[in-house]
Amino acid sequence: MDYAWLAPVLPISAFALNVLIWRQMGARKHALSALTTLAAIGGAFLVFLAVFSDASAHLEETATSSGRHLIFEGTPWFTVGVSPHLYVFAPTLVVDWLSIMMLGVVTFLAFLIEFYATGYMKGDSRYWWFFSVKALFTAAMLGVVLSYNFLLMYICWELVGLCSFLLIGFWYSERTNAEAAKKAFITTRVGDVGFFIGLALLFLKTRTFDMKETFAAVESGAIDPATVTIAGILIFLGAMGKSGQFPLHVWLPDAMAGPTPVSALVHSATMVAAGVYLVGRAYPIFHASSTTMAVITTVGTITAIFAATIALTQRDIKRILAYSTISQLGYMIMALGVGAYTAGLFHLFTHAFFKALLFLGAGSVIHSMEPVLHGTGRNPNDIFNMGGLRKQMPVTFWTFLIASLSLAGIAPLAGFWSKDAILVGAYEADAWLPLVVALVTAFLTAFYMFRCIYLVFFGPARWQVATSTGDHHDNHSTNHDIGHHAVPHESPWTMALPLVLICVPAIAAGWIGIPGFSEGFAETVRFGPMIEEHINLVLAGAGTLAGVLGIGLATLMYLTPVSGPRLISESFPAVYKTLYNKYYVDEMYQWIIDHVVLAIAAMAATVDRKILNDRIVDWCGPFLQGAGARVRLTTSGYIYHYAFGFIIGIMAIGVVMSGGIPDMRFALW
Amino acid sequence: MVPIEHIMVFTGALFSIGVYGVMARRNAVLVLMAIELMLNAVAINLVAFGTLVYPGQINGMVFAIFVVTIAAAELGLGLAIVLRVYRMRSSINVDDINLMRW
Repeated sequence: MDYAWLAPVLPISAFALNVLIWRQMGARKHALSALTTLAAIGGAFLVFLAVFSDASAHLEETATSSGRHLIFEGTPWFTVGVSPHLYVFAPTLVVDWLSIMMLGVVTFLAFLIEFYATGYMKGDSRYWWFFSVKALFTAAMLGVVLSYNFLLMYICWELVGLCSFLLIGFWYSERTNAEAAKKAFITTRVGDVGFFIGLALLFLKTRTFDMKETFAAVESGAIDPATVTIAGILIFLGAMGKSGQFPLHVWLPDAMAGPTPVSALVHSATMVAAGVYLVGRAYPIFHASSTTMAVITTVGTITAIFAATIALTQRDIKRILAYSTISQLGYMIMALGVGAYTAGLFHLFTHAFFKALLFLGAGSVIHSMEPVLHGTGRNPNDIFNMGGLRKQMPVTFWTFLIASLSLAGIAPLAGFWSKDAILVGAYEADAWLPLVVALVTAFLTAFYMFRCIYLVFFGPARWQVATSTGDHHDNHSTNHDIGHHAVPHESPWTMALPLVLICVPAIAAGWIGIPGFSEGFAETVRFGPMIEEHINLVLAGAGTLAGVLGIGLATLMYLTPVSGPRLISESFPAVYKTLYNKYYVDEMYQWIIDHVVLAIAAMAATVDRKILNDRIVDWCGPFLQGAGARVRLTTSGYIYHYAFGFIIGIMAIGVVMSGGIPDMRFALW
Repeated sequence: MVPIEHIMVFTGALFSIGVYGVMARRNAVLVLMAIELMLNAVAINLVAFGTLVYPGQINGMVFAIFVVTIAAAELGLGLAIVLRVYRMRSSINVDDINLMRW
């Protein structure tokens, strides 16, 4: 078990190898980097398998409420503070079922997505850099997962943010991509500042960053409840930023600017999972305060329904999936908020698989649409430019369909079990509003996913219009294959194989959490004593009904070319526009930046220029010059002036040393 | 034995005359002579207090010899400077030697 540290160290070594040595290798660096990264992440996956098989025998039962775990103390890195309050920082790692689960999800998906990327990114001039950053990204995420020290986690947490910045802005020569990367970085930074302040607050009280000691202090009541509440909410702010919770969700849809393998990794197993994972990992802090839990529930509930409604009207296939991700993350956060710890993390687990599959499927579709729509000026991401693709791309179609059914919560696919667990959790916590919202969101989810499927894979082939009217003179020499067969084609096997492989957990990952079926999830990933899970047929039925209704409505509206959707959007233009423009959150932020932030900045600039600069800094020089001009007059050049000063000085020293004039006496007698 | 107070009054007067000479004289040679007066006042003080504090020992006198020696050396140097200044400026009036300023 003590080799668990290899999991993050392998990919980070691959990163170092790529950027330090392979980089010098000329044209071979691309293949070498891809191979090294794949090997390292594959190695990390093997580490997961070894840890997983050893786990049941080696994990120790402990008194804390987070179940069985093993803690590994690392070599101390540095010491801070002064003597009575010394803090020795050592990188502590934890292996418990929560981290093992994430270890498996991250390494498995990262490996397959990397493999997919070898095909998807083929020919890119910075191919090697893509794989190098991917390796660092995976290492950072594994670091977040394994660390049992808030400071170590924060370091890895920021590394995840940095890598997502580098990857989202991978094609930075296009302005929108660079801006999306910047937006992702800055928006998550807003949350991270909260996270950092929360940690500092806890450190002030406990004098340690060690999670074990911090949790013990919180649970024993050594920290006053108000501090725990404030620190909890601040730490949750960090999770909100990373997991794209309202109102810090704005970066996530824009993050679609990155290459699709990045979107798949960012939105399934890494980046966004980090936030939910943090809530799960630091649960004792949140659980100790009902206020914090209420905040978490509220944020999660709002996010779930808010993002689902936006997804109804989007046209960009990756944006639909992005809002779906936000919505599902809201689901998880909501579940954690109402106390359904296992259910929330179970959904994180299953969602990672089917959402990665959906993104890779979308990437496959876009990959095949790009040559078809090239030169026509039409967006290859727009689902209204697709249609009828199920004949051309059978593998993509079937895997996408399975993932969508799983996301819609149709039994017996993975999503059904975790969604049902959340519904049961909300019901048992008597959280009626979240329960209703969860059901409505399930309905909306099924609807927008099947809207997407019908528009992409069924119906008339709208891309054909593009090729027939498309101007062949524009792209005569560069893309001659367009003229010959301007038809979408199935992606190469390096892209299709991961789709099929991820399909397996997207179907089956939920089965380990079937109530009463196995010890599975409820026994292992838990907070507090194990709760006997039981299936609630009414809720399961309601959840499935919501999904089926959503699919049915989508079928009615989009499978056959009727004017239903247009009729609705034209009957309620205000609603449609609000949803299509994502509730104008971006516009609101822009307004705040323009009218508040920039106004404050202008005021600060005025103070800086007019007062600090013109009045104080500019005044220093003339003042010293003037003072010097006056003082230098005292150096007259006459010897007797100097001698006079000399004698006065001697006399003054004599007066002072003899203890002042009244007591002037000779100490010698 | 002469009372110490008498000696102090005498050396104080001698020192003050020296100070006055340094401040008031314009002739550089006279300024040097006034400095000699101050040094002599100090030397007399050293001898007097040496005898008073350490009777039968010669500490104070040894110091006085040193002072006289150094005074002689200093005067030699000073007069050499005065001579150079006179060669350059045809004057030994200290009012004319005011180059040491801004």
